[in-house]
Amino acid sequence: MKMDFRHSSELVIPISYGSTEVIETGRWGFQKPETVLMTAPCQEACPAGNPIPQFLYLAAEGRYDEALRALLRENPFPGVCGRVCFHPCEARCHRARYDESVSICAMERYVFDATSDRSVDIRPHRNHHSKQVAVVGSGPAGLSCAYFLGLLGHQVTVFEARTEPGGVMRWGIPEYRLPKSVLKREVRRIVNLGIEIKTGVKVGGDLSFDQLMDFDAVFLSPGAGSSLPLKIDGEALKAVWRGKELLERINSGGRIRLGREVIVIGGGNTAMDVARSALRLGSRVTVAYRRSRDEMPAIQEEIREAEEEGVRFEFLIQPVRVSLLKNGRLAVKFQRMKLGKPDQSKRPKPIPVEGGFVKLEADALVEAVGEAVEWSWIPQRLMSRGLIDVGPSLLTAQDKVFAGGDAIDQPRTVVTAIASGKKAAISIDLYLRGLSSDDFLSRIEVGNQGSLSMEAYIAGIEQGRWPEVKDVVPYERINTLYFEPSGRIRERKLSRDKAVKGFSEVNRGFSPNQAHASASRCFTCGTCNYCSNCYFFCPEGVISLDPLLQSRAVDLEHCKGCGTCARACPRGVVEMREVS
Amino acid sequence: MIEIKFKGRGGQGAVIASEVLGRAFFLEGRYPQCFSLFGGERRGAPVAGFLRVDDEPILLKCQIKNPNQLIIFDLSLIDEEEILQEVKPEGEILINTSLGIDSFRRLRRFRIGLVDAGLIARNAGLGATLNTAMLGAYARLTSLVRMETLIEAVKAVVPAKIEANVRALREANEQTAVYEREIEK
Amino acid sequence: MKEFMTGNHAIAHAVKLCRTPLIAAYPITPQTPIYEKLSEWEASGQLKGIMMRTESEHSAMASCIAASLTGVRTFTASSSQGIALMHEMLHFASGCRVPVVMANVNRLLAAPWGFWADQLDSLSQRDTGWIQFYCENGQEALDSVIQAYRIAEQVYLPAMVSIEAFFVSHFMEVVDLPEQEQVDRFLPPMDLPHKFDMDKPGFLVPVVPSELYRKYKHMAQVSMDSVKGLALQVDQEFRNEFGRGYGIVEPLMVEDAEVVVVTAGSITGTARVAIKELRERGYRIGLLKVRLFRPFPGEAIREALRGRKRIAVIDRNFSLGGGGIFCQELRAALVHSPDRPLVFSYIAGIGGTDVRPEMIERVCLDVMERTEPMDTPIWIMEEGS
Repeated sequence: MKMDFRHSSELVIPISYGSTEVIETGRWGFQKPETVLMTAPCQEACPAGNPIPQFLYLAAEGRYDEALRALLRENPFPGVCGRVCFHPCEARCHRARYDESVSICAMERYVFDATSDRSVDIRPHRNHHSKQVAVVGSGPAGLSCAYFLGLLGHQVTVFEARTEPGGVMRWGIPEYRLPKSVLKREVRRIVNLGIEIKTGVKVGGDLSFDQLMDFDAVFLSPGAGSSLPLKIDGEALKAVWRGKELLERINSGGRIRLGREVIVIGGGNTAMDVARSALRLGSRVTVAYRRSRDEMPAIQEEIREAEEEGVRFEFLIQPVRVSLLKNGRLAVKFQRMKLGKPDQSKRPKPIPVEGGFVKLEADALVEAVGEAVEWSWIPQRLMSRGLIDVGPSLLTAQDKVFAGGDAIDQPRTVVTAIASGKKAAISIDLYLRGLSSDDFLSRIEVGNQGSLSMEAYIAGIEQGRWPEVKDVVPYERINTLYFEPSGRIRERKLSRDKAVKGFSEVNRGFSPNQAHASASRCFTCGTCNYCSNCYFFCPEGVISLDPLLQSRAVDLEHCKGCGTCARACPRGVVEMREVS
Repeated sequence: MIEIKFKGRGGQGAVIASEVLGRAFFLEGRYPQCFSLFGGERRGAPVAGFLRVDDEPILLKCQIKNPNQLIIFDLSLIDEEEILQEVKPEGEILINTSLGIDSFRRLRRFRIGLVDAGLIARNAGLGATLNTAMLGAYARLTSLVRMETLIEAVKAVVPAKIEANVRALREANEQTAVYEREIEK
Repeated sequence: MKEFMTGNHAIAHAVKLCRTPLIAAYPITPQTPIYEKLSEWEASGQLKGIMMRTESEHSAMASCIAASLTGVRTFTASSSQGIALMHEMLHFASGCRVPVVMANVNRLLAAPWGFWADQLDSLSQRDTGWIQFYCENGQEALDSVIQAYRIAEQVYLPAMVSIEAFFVSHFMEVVDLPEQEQVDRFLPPMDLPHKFDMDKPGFLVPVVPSELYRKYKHMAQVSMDSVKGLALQVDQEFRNEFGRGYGIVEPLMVEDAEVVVVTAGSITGTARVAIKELRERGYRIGLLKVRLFRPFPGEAIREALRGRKRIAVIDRNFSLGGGGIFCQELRAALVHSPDRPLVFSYIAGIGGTDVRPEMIERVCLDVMERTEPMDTPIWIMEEGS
């Protein structure tokens, strides 16, 4: 007998053409997975609140345009920060506890370098409260404030006393660290937002402080542009320079001859910039610092690069007198110092060693021991100890006048200036809407160290969707079993010989392969990067991921709450919560 | 039907030898059946290979208890008492040894072939692998298989060092001393 | 073309000749050479299919079932603990009516541990709904795999071809390899009516009410019963194409036999020698080889043993509390026989112990002495033990 079942499969075995979807297996569970996005420690450490895990995820996927857009939501200067930032983020990177930290700063630069602004689509939000705001000074603080105010839909006019915008980015930082072309691209993007930058307009000269009061709000960010004097004999000699002025001359393209040997006084970033610039002008350079190497406030990398390029260091000496020798050179008398108890800056106080003196000769001396705010045009009641006094919202003593950047009491770095510009923009927007900043700033914090999220602010103020404040991911939440150890990737550099021959950018950044490898090292702590672990491990097939739309969804009607996804998530994004 | 047992130590090639000889019989149109003691293949451990051959398909599916021919690769495995019980009367024994026939007096009821296969293999550059030398000697002792067929089988089963293996095969074939059985008084 | 190879390699050749596109397996001694040979051919491009290296036998069978339901021919090989682990999926295979073909190399089941021949592993799976063949040598194993596909793909039931560890799996013998064109002629491409249809998505193994479950089991029983006739027909066609055949049972010199020895697997070969010897010595002994075990060919066996008075079933397997499994089945099949023969159960070769012709002779002479029926199995040990 031969069976013939060929007419219908139902004659062989039952097949259900219905769907089991009607069976709500999700009701069986007593716990459900929740996507719990958290703040990565790097992000908390970034004063500008850069969305680091997000942009590194996009970069690892090769989606560099999107990575740039993510950065630009929180920071108008990725190209600048990717070059000159002291990157506190990397010190907090969880990967550092596993093997070595991710090269976050270098990746920010790579994202900028690998893209053009053509794909950038930043438009001001429509704002029914649009007002006129004046910004004084076009450094990182002023331009950031202008940029974010522009995003929020305000009309911004920036007044800049010098011939070109950029402040310290244009006139302070040397070309070999920050090429002018990079700044140009960043500024153009800001101008394209509808920001008006009036250069060559000096407030206090061309425009009075009172005239600023015609605007609905004012942001003061004049920077700290004048070098402090040492106040020693012989300071007025022609071969004695002030650091800031020297850098400005160099950045203006002026031809400068310092002579064969140069002594630089100071231990900060200006001193390093001066020393390395002097090397490039053909001089032999010695940096004299009154404390020891450990106390130098300059970025560690800058110090190391200066050393590598051939700058010599003399520690624990402080100049007391400069005199002119017959041969036209300078004789500099130094007092020997030793370290004492910590002072106000919490660093050991340098104390003179009695009777200890050293004499050095040089062709030029550059003083780079600190900068001050030039505040002759600012009403005195706004000032306190040479700085503009501000409250928590960056409001000064005068109504509708806010201030930020190096002119207020905060660390003098580009990224902190950007952060103050962002904060001021938010405070000004709230002020112009007649709202109190106290009620809102805490809702848009990134972590607990004062960084703010502009994206969160816009979502809240424009759409009323104030995001939940996210916790910072603890290291223990990262499932490191899913990561293979790998070393930190270092950027390519010009050789020492080539570097000191001119002002070409020393750091050459990552190759595409290096960038991919480097971005892929990121744990993306607290941020879903659509690695698909949960998707593959889910025994019920109820998880759907869309990396392009950046969405992660669980079909809760059919999720039995087994918790496999939470266990399998490498980055602690999924948490099981009991069903009430 | 002839039943052959190969005794050696892991690494000497006793099992491979049974396969090569099996293939040679196959190439000559006969029906071989070849197997080894299962599970004991370790370097240095005693191993045994078995071969049946007949002019028609072999139906038996059991082990060889009483071989007609015993091929001993390693002198240390000789147990005269066992051999006397195991090998069929009028059987043949091939031994790899440098000793003379006087050392095997108790086995003279069998036809015996002696060959210094170890030396021949070493000289041919084969190290401790004796299988081809032993097969060359086997051909001499039994005349059951042609040298050309053996060479062809070696090429099929032992793809490495073919020339050296063929040299060992020939050398051993020439150097094997054959001793006819002594009738017991 | 004649070749000299092991039983394992003969099976690998069969799988290649059947152009099986999907093989999912997990290695286990003594089956591993099948797996290795197919892998080797996959690597060299000679195998026109893929090897899925699964993490367990359970998964191997699950893979075969799923792949089969896409409409492709599948194969797996296993042994002993592997097939025991597979057990749950074996039911799924027959329940899903997929024509998966498996080679099983009969190896004892632990404990204690061992690698030796014993048919308990596959006989333990007798109720899983698989067609089962037991083969005497590599040639028959090769031919049976090809036949198994033909049969399985016609009745939509999985089929298992078993050979014993070592005595068949590792014995090198002369095997006649069929030509590819012959196999292609004999074995048409597979067609599964209930294969997955992308245009009409559905799912198998839904929950069914009791009556429906009963209906499908009954339908499967009808299909399984048809295998007895179909296997004979396929074997005949095979004989026409390849010049060899086996039947589902093979009677040898039973017509006038006072005693008929019943065997399955490799012991049959040895028994052939023993019986010939006994015949030459004047004993009227016959032999019945059982090749098809599931479905159990009761009618064919009754037919072959008609008029016989004494039967000795030799089992290389043992169901604790029962006895030799072939004997149990055979006794059940003969219960309606008008001859009411005495059927004795002999246990020999357990755990891979050697079954020599003399042992089978002993069984025959022992049976000749017996006049009373006996339920308990008789264990055959070596002389003196």
